[in-house]
Amino acid sequence: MTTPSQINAAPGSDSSYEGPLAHIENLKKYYPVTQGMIVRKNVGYVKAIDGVSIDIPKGQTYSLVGESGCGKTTTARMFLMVEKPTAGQVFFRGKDIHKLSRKETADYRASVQAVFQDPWSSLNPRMRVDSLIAEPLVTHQHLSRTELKKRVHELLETVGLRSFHAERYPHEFSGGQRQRIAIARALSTQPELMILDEPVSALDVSIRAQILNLLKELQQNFSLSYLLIAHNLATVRYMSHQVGVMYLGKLVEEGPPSAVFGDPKHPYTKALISAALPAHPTNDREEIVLRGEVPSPINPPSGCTFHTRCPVAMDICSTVYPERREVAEGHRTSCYLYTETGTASA
Amino acid sequence: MATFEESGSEIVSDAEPKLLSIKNIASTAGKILRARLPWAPIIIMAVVVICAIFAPLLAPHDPTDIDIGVRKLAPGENWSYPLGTDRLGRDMLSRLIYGARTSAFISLVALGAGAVVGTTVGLVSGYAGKWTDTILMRITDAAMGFPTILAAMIIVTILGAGIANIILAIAVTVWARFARMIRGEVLQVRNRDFVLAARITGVSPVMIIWRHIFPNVINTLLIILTLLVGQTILLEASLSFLGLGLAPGASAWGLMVAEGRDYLISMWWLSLLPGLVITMVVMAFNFFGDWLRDTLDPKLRRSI
Ligand SMILES: Nc1ncnc2c1ncn2[C@@H]1O[C@H](COP(=O)(O)OP(=O)(O)O)[C@@H](O)[C@H]1O
Ligand code: SF4
Ligand SMILES: [Mg+2]
Repeated sequence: MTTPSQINAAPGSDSSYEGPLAHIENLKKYYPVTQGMIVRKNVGYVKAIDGVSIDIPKGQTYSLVGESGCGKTTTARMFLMVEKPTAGQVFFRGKDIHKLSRKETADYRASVQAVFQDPWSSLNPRMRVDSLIAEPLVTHQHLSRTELKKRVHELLETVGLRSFHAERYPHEFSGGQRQRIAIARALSTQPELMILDEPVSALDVSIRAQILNLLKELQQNFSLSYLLIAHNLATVRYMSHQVGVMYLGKLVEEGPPSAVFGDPKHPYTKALISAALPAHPTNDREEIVLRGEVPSPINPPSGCTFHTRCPVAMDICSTVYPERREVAEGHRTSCYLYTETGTASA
Repeated sequence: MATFEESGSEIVSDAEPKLLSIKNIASTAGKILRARLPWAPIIIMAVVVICAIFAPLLAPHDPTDIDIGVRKLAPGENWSYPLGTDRLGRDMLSRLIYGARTSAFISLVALGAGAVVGTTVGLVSGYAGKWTDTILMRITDAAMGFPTILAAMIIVTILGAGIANIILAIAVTVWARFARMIRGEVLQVRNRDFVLAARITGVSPVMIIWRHIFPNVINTLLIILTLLVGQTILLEASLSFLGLGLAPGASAWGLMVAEGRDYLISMWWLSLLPGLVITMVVMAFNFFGDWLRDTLDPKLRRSI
């Protein structure tokens, strides 16, 4: 295993900064919904994410869970700086990433990398593995050919591949190997933050654990921070230091996985966990069945957006969105069951 | 280090393990070699190419040689002129062989220029999107809607007849076909994750187009090129036939058809032979282009 020599000075890498490596504050992303072929009329907005704040500490994994369409990918994309948020800010080492200088932006791009879900789509089929892995390096650093080659071989070894694989094309590899190539590429500039949007969902069940173990090992060796999106509860428990549960573009509960999964507070989290558990005949646990469909993010319900499906909804729930409260050390949720106003009216 | 064993319990999943079946996005060459080749079109195309390159070696006579002594020979009448001669005693076979050279030259240059311009426009338009796309596609639509024959008439009226002007007339309209088709492909390719991966790494748009988009639309380019060769040959023939193309005396298939049109009964071979050659060659290229499309890119719409 190679030791990383930090080549990139991260933006604002002055040693005085002590906050989380990356954080977002009250982030919103609305996509306009248009109608009409010739004259496009704006008929509303999809509130893909609507006021999300999360902290990602150095060397830790923050996982996002929630049903499809709740805004996990949109949240993750906000770190990739390919589109601007509608409101709110994304910070890296305490600096707003949309206010960086040219040089700082380049450094940011080297410091934040991503691994996508589908390794059949994320590797250019027309490029050789060595060029694929070297591309971020070529973009950010001036290395000689021999240095590049050496680095590519090191990276291949780091992710469990062999140096002769460098001369091959992606189609010669299996899904798991391709995901390793994608990881090697992401590691090439020695990033500090990796965005992992369902990194094993497209892979064969038999090789998922290998890739997760590799990611965990890399995190320990290079003190990487991860923003992970995953569907498997066991995966999330195994990988994460923090878990955030999202519903309709909002973060409804967050905390360490032991708290969120072991002692869920928000009714949606409870429903999600019971839905994810395999039905067991001897299970005397109260099974919560979610009523109704997920409402449209174009016209979300008033107040607590979960009130249309919540089994314990109260009158107050449809008024305004409940404030976030800390229910235990590091364990926060937004639900009237845990506010004074809510408990008083119940 | 503790390792992780997968166990059930998926949270309501939107992740289908899709695309695993498309394991081999094999190379262009591999796909072509593994498919059954359409030999008839390939042979016809090969003959055209060989004739074009080696015309001086293959032609039994100089195609411009006027010899009153052997004029108006029908095919088979005199075996040193196997396909007969025209009104001026020029050898039909030699003229047809040299005609391949003319057609190949015109197609190569006109399509080459059209492909370079059209592909560039298509790549930029498709990748940039927004107003760049809107403006470029308006221009493309205008060029595509403009009849090539009309363009040729205007160009010939202003610049005079000649091979360079035919090429110009074809190129000024044909680039739009490339631009449209390539743009359509780019719209697909740019949504693939490897483009996003390059963007987040900070690769410049020019390099993204060059390294990631262009290599993935080459198949389409190849298909359009092949399909347009037939149309270009036909176009050149039509222009020559209408007298908008090559000067009389040149060896071009369309011109030969035109020259023979007053003698369809008395000297049937004058128009019929070049007409047959045009039909065969155009069909061969179209057939091969269709096959190439079905082999390389079955999704590509039948819209060229
Ligand atoms: N580019 C976009 N344009 C319009 N709507 C979008 C776009 N991206 C995502 N959305 C919408 O935003 C919502 C959240 O999507 P996403 O972040 O992909 O959810 P998740 O990853 O949790 O499944 C969905 O309703 C989705 O349809
Ligand atoms: S705020 Fe009310 S509706 Fe929302 S989750 Fe809590 S109890 Fe249910
Ligand atoms: Mg997603």
